[in-house]
Amino acid sequence: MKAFIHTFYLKTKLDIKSAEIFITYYLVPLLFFGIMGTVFTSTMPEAKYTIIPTMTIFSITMGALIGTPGSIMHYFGNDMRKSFKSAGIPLGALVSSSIVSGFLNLTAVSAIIHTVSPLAFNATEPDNTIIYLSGFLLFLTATLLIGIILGLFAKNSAKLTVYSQLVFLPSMMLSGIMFPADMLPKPLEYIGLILPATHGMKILSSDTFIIENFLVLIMFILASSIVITLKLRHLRYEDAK
Amino acid sequence: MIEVREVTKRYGNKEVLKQVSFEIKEKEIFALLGPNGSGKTTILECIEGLRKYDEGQIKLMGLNPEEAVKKGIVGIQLQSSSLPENICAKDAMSLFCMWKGISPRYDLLDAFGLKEIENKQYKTMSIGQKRRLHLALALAHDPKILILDEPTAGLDVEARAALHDQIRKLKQKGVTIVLASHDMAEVEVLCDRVAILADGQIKKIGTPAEIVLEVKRENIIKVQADKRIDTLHFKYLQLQKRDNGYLYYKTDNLLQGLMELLNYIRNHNYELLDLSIDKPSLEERFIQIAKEGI
Repeated sequence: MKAFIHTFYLKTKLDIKSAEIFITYYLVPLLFFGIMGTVFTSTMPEAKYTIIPTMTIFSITMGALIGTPGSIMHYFGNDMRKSFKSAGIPLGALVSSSIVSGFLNLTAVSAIIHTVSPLAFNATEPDNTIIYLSGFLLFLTATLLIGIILGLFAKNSAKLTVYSQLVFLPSMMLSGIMFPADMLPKPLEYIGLILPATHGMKILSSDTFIIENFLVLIMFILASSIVITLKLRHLRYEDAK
Repeated sequence: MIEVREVTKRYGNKEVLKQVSFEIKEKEIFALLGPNGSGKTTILECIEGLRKYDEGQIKLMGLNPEEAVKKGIVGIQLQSSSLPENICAKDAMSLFCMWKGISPRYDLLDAFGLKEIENKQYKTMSIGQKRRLHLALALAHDPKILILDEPTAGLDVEARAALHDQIRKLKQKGVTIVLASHDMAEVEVLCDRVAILADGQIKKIGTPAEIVLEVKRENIIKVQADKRIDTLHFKYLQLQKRDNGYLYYKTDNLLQGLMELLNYIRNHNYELLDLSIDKPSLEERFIQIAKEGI
C-alpha cells in the first residue's frame, strides 16, 4: 500500500513537472476559458448560466483525451514497461497512478474555473451542488478511463493523435458545449449520445436529477475498466510470450 | 547457484533456444557471448522471469525465476531500459526501493557517482549516467544474483572502465554476475567463464583462456630494429614474412621466443624501434564458432 501511495505521489509530481501535461491540463484549457468566457458572456449574456459547466467539460475532455494518453503511451512503451516490470512494479499501479494524477490535476483546473467564473464573468453557480459534484466525478472518471484506453492502444504518437482527435473533436462539437445539442441534425445528435461529454454536459448544466445520464456515465466507467483490465492482461501475456 | 537445463524457447515455429543447458557457480562472473539473434537476451529474460520458456527448467538458488525475483534474489539491468523522462535519480531510487519494501538506497547513488546529479532529469542524463543509474537500481535490494544485458553498450572508454571496476567490486562482495556482451575484450578480462551461443545453442563453454587455447594458430611477434636481424639463429621463432621494415615471427612458445629475440637485440646493441605481439584471442574463436553456427 505504501508503494502504491508513493507511486501516486510521484506520478502526480512528475505530471506537474511535465510540460506536455501542464499545457494540456492547465495552460490551453485556462486560456480557452479566459477567451471564451469573455467572448460568450459579452456576446450572449445568457452564457453566464452555462459557462461553468461548458468550460469544465472542455477542460476535462482536453486534459483527459489529449494529455493523459500521451503520458500513458510513454509509460507503456516496451522499454519502460519492462524496466518497471523487472523492478516488480505492477502495470496496474502505473494505470491507477495516472488516474489519480489526472483526477487531482483536472479537479484543480475545474476548481479554478468554478472559482474564477463568478468573479470574472458574473457566472451563475450550479443550484444543486450534489447533482453537480456527483456528475462531475462520474464524468471525470469516465473521460480519464477513455484517455487511458487511447494511450494503451496507440502504438505511436501519430496514431495517438488520430485516436485522441477522433474522440476529442466530436466531444467538442456534438456534446452541447459549443451550441445546444438539440440544434444538431438528428444523426449527429445520436452520435453525440455515445460520448461521455454529452451526458456530462446534461448533468452539469441541469438542476434536476435524470438517472439515465448518470447510468450512461456509470456504464462508460464499467466498460472502460473492463477494456483496460483486458488490455493489461494482454500486455502481460505478450511480454511473457 | 543458477541451473539452466535443456531450455527450449519458440517464437511461433522458430526455435530461438534449443535445449540450452549450463550452470553458473556462486560468486562467478559468467558471460553469454553470441552474435545478434543468437538468443542471448531471450535466455537472460527467461532467467529473469520476464519471459516464459516452452521446455526445460531454470532454477536460481533452487527457486523458479519468478519466485527468485519476488524474493529479491535477482537484480536486473535490461539491455534497453527506460524511465519517465522527467524523473530524477533520487525519485527513481525511492520508487524502486518502495516496491522492494526497503528504504531508499541513496548511498548507491553516491557509490555510482550519481550524487551530484541526483536531481537531474533522466532525459538529460548521458548514456553512461543512465547505465549507472539502472545498475544502482538493480542493486538497491542487495541481490545475490545480478543479470546485466550488454551493460557497457554505448559507453565511452572511461565509463566502461569505471563500470568494470564496479562489477569487479560486486564480485568481491559475493554477487554472482551473469552478463551478455558483444565486447570480447570486456569478457576476456572480466569474466570467469564464458558460454558462446550461436543459433540458439551453446557452442562452447569454459574459461576465456580455455576457449582461446582452441584457436589453431601460433603467436605472431612483429618487430622492427634499427639494423637487420639475422633470423637463422633463433630456435623458438620462425620467420613468417618481412613487410615494410617489420619482421613477423611465428612462435608456439611466446615467452622463450620473446626472450630469444630481445636477447639477440641487446647482445648486438641494436635499437628496438617497435614490437608487438598478436596472440590468439577470444574474438577469433568466437568468430570461428559463430561462422560454424551460421
